[in-house]
Amino acid sequence: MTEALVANQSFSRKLPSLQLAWDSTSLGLLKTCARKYQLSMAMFEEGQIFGYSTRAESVHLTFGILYHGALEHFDHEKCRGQSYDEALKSAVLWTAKMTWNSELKRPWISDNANKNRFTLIRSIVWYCEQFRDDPAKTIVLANGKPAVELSFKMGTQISASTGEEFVVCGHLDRLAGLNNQTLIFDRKTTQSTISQEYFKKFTPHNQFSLYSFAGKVVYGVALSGLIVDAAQIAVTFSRFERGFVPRGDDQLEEWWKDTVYHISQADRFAQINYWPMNDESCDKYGGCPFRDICSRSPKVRNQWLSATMIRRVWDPLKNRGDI
Amino acid sequence: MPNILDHPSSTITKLGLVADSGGGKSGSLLSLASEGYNVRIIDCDNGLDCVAEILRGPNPYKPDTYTRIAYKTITERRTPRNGKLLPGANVWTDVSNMLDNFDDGKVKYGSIYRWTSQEILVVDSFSFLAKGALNWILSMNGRLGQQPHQSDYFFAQGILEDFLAALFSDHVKCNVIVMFHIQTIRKDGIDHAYPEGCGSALSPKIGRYFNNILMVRSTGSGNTAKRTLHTKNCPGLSVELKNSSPLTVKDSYPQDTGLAQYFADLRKGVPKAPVPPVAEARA
Repeated sequence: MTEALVANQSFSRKLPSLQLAWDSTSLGLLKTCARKYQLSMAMFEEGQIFGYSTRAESVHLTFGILYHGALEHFDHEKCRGQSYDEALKSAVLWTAKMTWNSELKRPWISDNANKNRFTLIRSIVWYCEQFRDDPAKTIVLANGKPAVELSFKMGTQISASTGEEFVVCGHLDRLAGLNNQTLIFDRKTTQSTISQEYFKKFTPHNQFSLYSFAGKVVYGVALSGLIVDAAQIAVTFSRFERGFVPRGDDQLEEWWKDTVYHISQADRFAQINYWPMNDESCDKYGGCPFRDICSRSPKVRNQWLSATMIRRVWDPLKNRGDI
Repeated sequence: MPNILDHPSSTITKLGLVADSGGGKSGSLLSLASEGYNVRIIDCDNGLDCVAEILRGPNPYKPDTYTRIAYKTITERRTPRNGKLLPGANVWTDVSNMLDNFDDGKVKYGSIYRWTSQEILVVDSFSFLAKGALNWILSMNGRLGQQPHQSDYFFAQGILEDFLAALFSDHVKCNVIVMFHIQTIRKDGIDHAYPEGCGSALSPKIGRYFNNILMVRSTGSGNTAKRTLHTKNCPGLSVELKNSSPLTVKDSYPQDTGLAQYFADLRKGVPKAPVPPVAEARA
């Protein structure tokens, strides 16, 4: 195989469509449907690795990213020694700037009654107010920065067919100390009521198993599980609940065994350059965005992809925060 | 294929001990320490003063009984805030940490996963531990001191079930005794009595985690009060009891010596290790 130029550091230089660095998003896509995974992030053309996504903005993704960013900003300001009020003002100002389109000279417009600029700022203020005396204190790292948006990368000691090592990587939202324990907190926003049923869906759950695993291996977090820091975003209110999502050592061992199996499968798919469709997943998870593509003849799919979707690069190794 | 006769239940006992408050649960442990077991107590009730009082006075136990009792009292720290005394939510994490390293403040006894059939882990009592679990959940949500939501009970019940499952698992190779108070739950118009958990959903499930549920019951009062350890259901007993050797154990035992006798009866018939043959003396 000739060496190809790849812009994505997470993929092999010897077998370009072979992903070496796996995060929970890419692993989750692979588990859902190998074809969906390939279309989302492992297309290889003209020396480039890329994927496709829908043209329409996902308001949930945008809202979630901004919510995370605002609270991360708040944590950084508190860590810098700012008072609660100053840190909150700074976080609100940050949010206001991030949701302002300076080219069009107007705010971010969302057609979602629950998730929009107003409810975003309201949620940030209400969250900070509810947890003003948060007993869970954000860990401060040795470099003096708060343990938020922590990137991790761990070797698996498992070699791909190319001889390169697979790694698992990702970003932990927050490490915090509570009653002499270090806990991983993961923030989630939802429009649904936060109840027992909401938290039940996080076991089993690929992302949380990966984070629990990484927390133990990389950061030495002893607790068997993590905390879901959930926010219900409604039209007229925001409500916050935290729940513990357990992961025993035996569950994590099982998850790891399954993960090794799945990335070995990805290796095989990359070798034969064929990613099978899981046609049982098409109508699940709100419906696959590639359903329209896969429902067409294989001969015309590429044209439809170019016409209806936009290209994007998903690189799990790109850090979102401090290491 | 493992030999069923070698099943660890013949040398390890895991039981739930139920009684009303002040019913004699803690005092019943003394017979075990007297018989040579190392009794290690996680004391969430702060109720071991009766044990000390018994040992200081005339008692039926061996003189060195006290040397085989270790304990750690773990209760919620309370701090005043806005006119309330709020719990510190430390019980749950402190108790969880004790399973990894039982430390009575003087001696570190290590992880319970390394203990043997000579050791007995005692959790006294599950009711207070359950309150600690609920406080931990409330603390996590920044609502300490407030009325718990239904989801708080759900989470507390989840972590408490995991706790019981951990003690019940075959990775724990020591004896386990968990003390329970009694909780009455009305179902279909009928009152049912269960070992007390957290809320009403957990209590009916507690029995699943034990092969032995015993009850200490007092009858009479004052100088004529008599405490009995019951192993089987009988009229007047509220909680459903069970034991792992119904053909061997008695229906009841005296409370002050009962647990040791019960342990001995459970181990009756367990084949001892074969004695190696003695070489014949040569003339």
